Amino acid sequence: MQQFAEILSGGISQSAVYCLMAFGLSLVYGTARILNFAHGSLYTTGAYVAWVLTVGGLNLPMLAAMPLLVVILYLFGMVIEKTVVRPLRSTKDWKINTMMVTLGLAFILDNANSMIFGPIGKPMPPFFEGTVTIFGAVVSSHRIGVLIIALLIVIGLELFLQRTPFGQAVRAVSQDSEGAAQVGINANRIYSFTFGLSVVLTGIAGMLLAPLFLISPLGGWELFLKAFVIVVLGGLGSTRGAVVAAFILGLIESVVIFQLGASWTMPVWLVTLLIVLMIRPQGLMGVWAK
Amino acid sequence: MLNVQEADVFYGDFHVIHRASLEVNQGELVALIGANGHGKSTLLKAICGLVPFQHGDIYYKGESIKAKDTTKLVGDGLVYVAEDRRLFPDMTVQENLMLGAYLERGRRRQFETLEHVYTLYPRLQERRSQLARTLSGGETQMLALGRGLMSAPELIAIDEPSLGLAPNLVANMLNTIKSFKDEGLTVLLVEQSLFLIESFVDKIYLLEEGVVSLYDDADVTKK
Ligand SMILES: Nc1ncnc2c1ncn2[C@@H]1O[C@H](COP(=O)(O)OP(=O)(O)O)[C@@H](O)[C@H]1O
Ligand SMILES: [Mg+2]
Repeated sequence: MQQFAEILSGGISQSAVYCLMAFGLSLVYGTARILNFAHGSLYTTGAYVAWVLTVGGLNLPMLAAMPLLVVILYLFGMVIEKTVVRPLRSTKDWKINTMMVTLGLAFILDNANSMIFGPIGKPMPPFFEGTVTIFGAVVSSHRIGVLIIALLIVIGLELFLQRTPFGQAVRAVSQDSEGAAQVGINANRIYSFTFGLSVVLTGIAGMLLAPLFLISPLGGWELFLKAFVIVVLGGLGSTRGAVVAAFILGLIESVVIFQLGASWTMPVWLVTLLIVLMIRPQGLMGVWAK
Repeated sequence: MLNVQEADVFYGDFHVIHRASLEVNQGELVALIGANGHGKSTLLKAICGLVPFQHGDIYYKGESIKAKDTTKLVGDGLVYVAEDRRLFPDMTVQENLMLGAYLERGRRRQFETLEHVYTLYPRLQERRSQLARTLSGGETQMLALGRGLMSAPELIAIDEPSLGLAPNLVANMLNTIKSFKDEGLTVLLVEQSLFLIESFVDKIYLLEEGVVSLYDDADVTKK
């Protein structure tokens, strides 16, 4: 039972990181209708950048590295959106075209990462040392720290979307982009912003999980696939759905790991997804059925 | 205030508007009428920067709007209320209204305007925390007009506000639009027929198969 409590608490903090990844993926789909296949490679890239800023080179303390990481990833995301994605928006089959171009970008990032950092995984020390005991379960402080950071970010994002005029504009574009144009919202600005934000979120997820797994060039793919399942379960484009789905699937994952082993996670997730989609084709909180 | 000169509009190869010219002066309420599918919405969208026009030019407040997008035009007080309303379905009535005041122009007086919209449509105030998707047809149209007013327009272009409304609501809706003019707004109103509007419009243009012509009173009485 104690072992299960430990796995469960690990699952909760893992879920919080899935939230960050899935939030960004869903937000970009919701506003710009772009399915970003480079999301996992950007996760890995974020982890490498965090590694360079800290133990891998610059030796900055965590508190200095975080804001720098955010700025670098945000600018990187904006540049990708402006140079790679946006020019395709005016083409006829832009949905499939942008999907393919982000897939190409993923391979470029993967190769660049493995050229620069080599194929061998990079270790990252935990940001918080030691362990905490909660209800008899021994949990690493790092996991608790990850949970708190990720939750604070998600709460902050939700407040931003609900309470600020710019956040309202982001929601407006995702609900009706033509209506948004009619009130004077520049959708292109929103597209760059959400893309930049999603790269920040996935990169932070990469940084937070780096001490738990080694950073390796292809390590982001598994997380991308998981984030994809989460986003579809939550309802494509719904950020709240993504948050709820991340916790549901994260908890299912910890049960599966305890009972069957980690390799069963994806099969069980997909069966869950299938059942939910048969009842609600638009996902848990999705509005449209596509 | 608004001057359309020989504008052509195409959808791909499909030539919808042929050399359209029309003029709306400050303070006027001008109607553009025509049967379904003859290009009224298309011309209005071209004026508001939502579809490009090819030949000719369109001037708003003396400046060509060829290079301006909708966002800029809204900031300049040219506001469009779409036939299909285009509300934000998963936001509340009040959130929809406040988004009308997204740009500096509307934001400057957003609370006064909100007050004004609620006085005009007490129904919207009652429903202010309801999601837009739950509104009835009449309320949806009120919200679309209210959101347009929140942008602090100088010229408001309204596409078929009576479409889909119950007959008893149509007269009310059109009366409100007449009141916009009385408050000093310039209005370009698109409708399918002159029913209920001919008594208060300043000028009428007729759009037939993409061709615009001035409709004079003689024609009105003939019909
Ligand atoms: N987005 C579009 N793409 C192609 N054709 C369109 C589009 N919108 C409207 N049309 C066509 O243009 C013509 C004029 O339509 P519209 O401007 O909506 O007319 P109205 O508002 O007078 O009913 C119609 O034949 C319609 O089918
Ligand atoms: Mg029309």
